[in-house]
Amino acid sequence: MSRSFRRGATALVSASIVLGATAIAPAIPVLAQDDGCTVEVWGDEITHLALGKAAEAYTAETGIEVELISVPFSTINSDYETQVPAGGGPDLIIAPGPFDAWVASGIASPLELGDALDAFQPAAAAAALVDGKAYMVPLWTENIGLIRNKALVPEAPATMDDLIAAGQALVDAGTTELVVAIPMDPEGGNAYLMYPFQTSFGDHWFARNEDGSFDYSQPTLDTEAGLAFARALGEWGASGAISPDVGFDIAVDRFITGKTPFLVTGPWDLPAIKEAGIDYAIDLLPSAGGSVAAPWLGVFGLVLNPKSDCALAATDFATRFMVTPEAQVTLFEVGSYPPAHKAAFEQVASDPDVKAWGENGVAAQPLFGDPVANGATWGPIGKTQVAILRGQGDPETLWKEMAAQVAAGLEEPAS
Amino acid sequence: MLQLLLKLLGFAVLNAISVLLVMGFYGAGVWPVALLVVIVTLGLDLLYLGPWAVPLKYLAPGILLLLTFQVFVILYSGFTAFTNAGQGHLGTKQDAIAAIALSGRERVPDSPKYLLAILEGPTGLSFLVTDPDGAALVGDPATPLAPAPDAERNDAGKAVGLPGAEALTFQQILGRQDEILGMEVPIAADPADGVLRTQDGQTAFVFRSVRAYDPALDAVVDSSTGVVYRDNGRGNFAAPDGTQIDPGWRAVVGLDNFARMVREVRESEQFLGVFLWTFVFAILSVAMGFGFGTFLALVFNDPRIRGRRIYRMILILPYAFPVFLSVLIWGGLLNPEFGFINEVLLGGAKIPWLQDPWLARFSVLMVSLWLEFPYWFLIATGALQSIPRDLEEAATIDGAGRRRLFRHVRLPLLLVTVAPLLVSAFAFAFNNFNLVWLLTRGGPIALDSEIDAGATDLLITLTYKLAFDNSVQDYGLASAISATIFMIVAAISILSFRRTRRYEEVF
Repeated sequence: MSRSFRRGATALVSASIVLGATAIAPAIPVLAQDDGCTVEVWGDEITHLALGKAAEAYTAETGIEVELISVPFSTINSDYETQVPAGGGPDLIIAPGPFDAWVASGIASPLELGDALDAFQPAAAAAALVDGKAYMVPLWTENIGLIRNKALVPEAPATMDDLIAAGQALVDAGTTELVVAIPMDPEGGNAYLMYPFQTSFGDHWFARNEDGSFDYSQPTLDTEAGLAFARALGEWGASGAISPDVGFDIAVDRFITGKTPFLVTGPWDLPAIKEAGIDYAIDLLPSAGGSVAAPWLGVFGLVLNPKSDCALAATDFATRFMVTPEAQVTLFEVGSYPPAHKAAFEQVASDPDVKAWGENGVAAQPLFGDPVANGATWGPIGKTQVAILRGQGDPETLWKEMAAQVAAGLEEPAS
Repeated sequence: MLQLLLKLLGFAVLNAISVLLVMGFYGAGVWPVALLVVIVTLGLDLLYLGPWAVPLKYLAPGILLLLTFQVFVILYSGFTAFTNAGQGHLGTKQDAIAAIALSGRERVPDSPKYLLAILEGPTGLSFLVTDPDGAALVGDPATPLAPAPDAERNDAGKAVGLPGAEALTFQQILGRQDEILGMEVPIAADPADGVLRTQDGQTAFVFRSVRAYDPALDAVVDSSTGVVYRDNGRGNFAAPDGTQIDPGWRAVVGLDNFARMVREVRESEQFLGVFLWTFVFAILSVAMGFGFGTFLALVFNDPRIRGRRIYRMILILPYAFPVFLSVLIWGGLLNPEFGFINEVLLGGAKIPWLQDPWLARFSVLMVSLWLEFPYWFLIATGALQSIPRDLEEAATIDGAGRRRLFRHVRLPLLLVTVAPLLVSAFAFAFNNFNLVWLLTRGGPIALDSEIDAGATDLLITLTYKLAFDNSVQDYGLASAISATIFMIVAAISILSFRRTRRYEEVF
């Protein structure tokens, strides 16, 4: 190639830079300007669908797109925690309150809800608050219950003993495989689903203040109530009534294939059960220790990312649009979620499922926010429950060791 | 000619993308990255358009990828190892200040909720608000709120406009949201009485700052108690009595993370256990995979076996499945109650394959063997076939038996080829996160473990737990462990590669 040709080529490429740039120039203002912003909402595989109808209605009203994004349940919180500080993440995230840890990390933005919180159920409003400030627009409350296959067991069991007797009879007859399915991690157990059985002995983990909140200075695991639960776990494990090897997929699978009459779970598993055509009933969680079996109460809501680049529209969607009874009712229409808004809840309260969840949740204990207490309790309690179920030691000894570990964990600073 | 045109077209596209990136980065305020894109693009253009630096033309793409995906990542995690990055220290100091400003601002108790319209007049943006009694007021950041009797109202009685000013539509508000979200309109001449702010562009509330950052002092001042929280040099604002304000920011803490790691190794048996198990696992996993794979290769290298091709194909199958799929399936097979192995093969035995510490280690090694041997089988088969037949024949004539033939002819020649692969396989096994995480999550975990370390935890899975899986995340400590892993693996690799040169002297 001749020199001049090369020079010509160089000139041509230089020109191409300008040309290329010119070609995309019309796109630049679109990229740079804000007003086309889309409100991005993260939820897990199931929850992200809940806002579908509300999002459409909001888009119809304001012209602003709301994009619902599914992030796996197992990683949604850690993804949010790692991406927000780096400037990523969604504008809003659907997560269960309270949010003490996120507030301490500066990854939740306070929302001024005015008096709107008064229109929500008290427990839902309480879960939105950290130090008296709201960080969430509550969407729905959820607690677990006992789901029964009516074809296998026609009557609701009144106590845990009844449940085990009914389940065992079916297993002995060869009709089913499992007495009851309680989904568990084979290592970490499931302190969330086992909680109502524990509370039915009178141990709520901590002593409670008058308003029902925890007094973190007084763990109650190492009390007679806690030990009674430990002994019961030992019995259930030894008799095989509760197996720590029933994982999440196994539990639901066994229930919808009729291989167990009982499943302890929350509203999130209902769609699969309905789809399988099981004739189910949601029963009151049976008491094992004589007192009321109180499950945890989770409150899901929308949290605003403080680094959102579409903050104004996201806030408008969350604090103005989603606090209305009309929008909250759609949560029920889409995913059978009992709305956190009082007026919306009343509209759907006659639904038998909502009613049944509600009855299970009458005495429910709201999830607690304190990061240190959370860090000290869930892991050791769940692991010890598994160890006792597996018979890896004397239940009382294992339980007392765990109680001491929890007490030590409560003493430590968070970081 | 066509080649040249294609080349030019390619560069035009590359340049166009670069221009787009530069605008994007510059627009987002990260000009160093924008500058980097400019330099790299111009560099590439210059390099490939001239007749010069031909070798570099071949090397440049590789070098660029190396810098981006290796060097940068290593340097970044190396840097993180010297910081306190983790829960409560996630962002920059600016982020922390912004978050403290947000949480330090409180709505004035019992103050009304105002309906808001945002107006643009000659002096800029102003707030036109309607209070609960229906009175219209107007103000802007420089002028406190004052009655606006001539406001135009809509049917609901909300003040929506003023003569001489234009009301912004919601779309316009969205377009200027940063400006509007930052606006503070004092409600009275004394700003301490409170300021109006909006979060959604349609309502406004009266806020008062209780805690605010003072740039002159580089400290956060609590105006209700008068306490001054100063930068404590460790990523937090702290009061003289040590109380810290959350959130903090990522700060350099020197060797703290490494010191903590050493302390943990010394004090915690579990950490030491993880450390040792990582070595044991890496060595055994490679040794077993290599041994078994080579054994099978030798067996199937014998021409007397019929249907060798079919056997070989079947043996390679485990290698053909995606690792994570195989491991998850193994996890299911080994479930003590519902797993195929216990329920069907062992007739309902309840052997805790993954729940007992020693059985779990055994199971992890066995699954690793299942995953690894086809690789070594493939490599060894290839290597064996490349060994010159005359060498083997000469050895046989000299009277070497099968064992001697293997030990003194085949194995040394095999090692020439596979020794470097053994070293890299060791490095891989040392960090075999997928296998351990998907099979046992590092468990079973001792009940009294403070760091959640389990019997099968490798250093890398423990690192992951520390960084992402715990209730309290600690990226700094996790990075320090990663850096240590890197150094261990690098040191072992360098040493081994030196040793493997010996084998090459065979030829």
